Amino acid sequence: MKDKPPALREKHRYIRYEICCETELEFGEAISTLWKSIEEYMGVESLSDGEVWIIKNKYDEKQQEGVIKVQKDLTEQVISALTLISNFGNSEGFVVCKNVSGTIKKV
Amino acid sequence: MTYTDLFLINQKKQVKQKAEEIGWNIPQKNIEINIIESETLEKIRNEIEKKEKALNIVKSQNKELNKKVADEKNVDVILSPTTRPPKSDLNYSLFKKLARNNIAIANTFQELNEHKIRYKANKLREWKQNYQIAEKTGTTYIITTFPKTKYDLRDPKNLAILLENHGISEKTIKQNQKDLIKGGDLNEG
Repeated sequence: MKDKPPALREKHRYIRYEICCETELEFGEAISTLWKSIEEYMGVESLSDGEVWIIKNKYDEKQQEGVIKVQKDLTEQVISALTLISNFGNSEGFVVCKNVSGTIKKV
Repeated sequence: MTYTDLFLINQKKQVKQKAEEIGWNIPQKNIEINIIESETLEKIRNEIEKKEKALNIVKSQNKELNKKVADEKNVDVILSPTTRPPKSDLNYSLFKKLARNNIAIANTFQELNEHKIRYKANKLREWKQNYQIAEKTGTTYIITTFPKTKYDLRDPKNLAILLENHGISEKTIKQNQKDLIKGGDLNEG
């Protein structure tokens, strides 16, 4: 199947986030909380439009940082969803969105 | 312009350090913040008399008491005034009274943390309603993180995005709190 022509493709943004938590989190632990919050805030409909993707390769366990790919129009909604996080399992913590960029290299 | 949070002034070192790291501006001005959690008006008056020069913040979730506190000119802020959204205890006439007496209304971000998703949705709606009435009546409306530990903090820019998504201007965490700290005219805009 052919790709869409460039003019029809949706524009994306990459969000760099940092987790500030009492304990160091593995990717699996972090992703479940992130997804839960994004799902609760955006709902299934927006989530399907938004093409949200939490990128595994870009997650740094030492720095507790990672990257989320999302459609341009829904960037603010994803940031809002991440702001509402207050717990990771049993430990307290929050998420800081450090940077938003159009390319994964720059972010 | 930088983001200011009133309740970061008298915090522990750890919290202050983290707050500055994520982008909050902590004023160097020495201000005494007096948080009063009494349940009668007399006790509140007594505590205000003890510390007249401090920034007097009344934390009460009693509907009747809030009405009485709105008449006190020495009170500066009423903190987290409602308990049960979506039925807000605040109304148009109360806001008008607050504007007349230069009293600000504050909601804390912690109100959102402690509850389930439905409660969060209602709370956000209540904030929006409060903001709209405050804009119309000229009352100062602020939203703070009110942190107990450093994990209660939030990135101010992210917080501004969340509020703007719900129709609340970032003025609530930028200009209004600065004016309160300066002791300037609260209702200037």
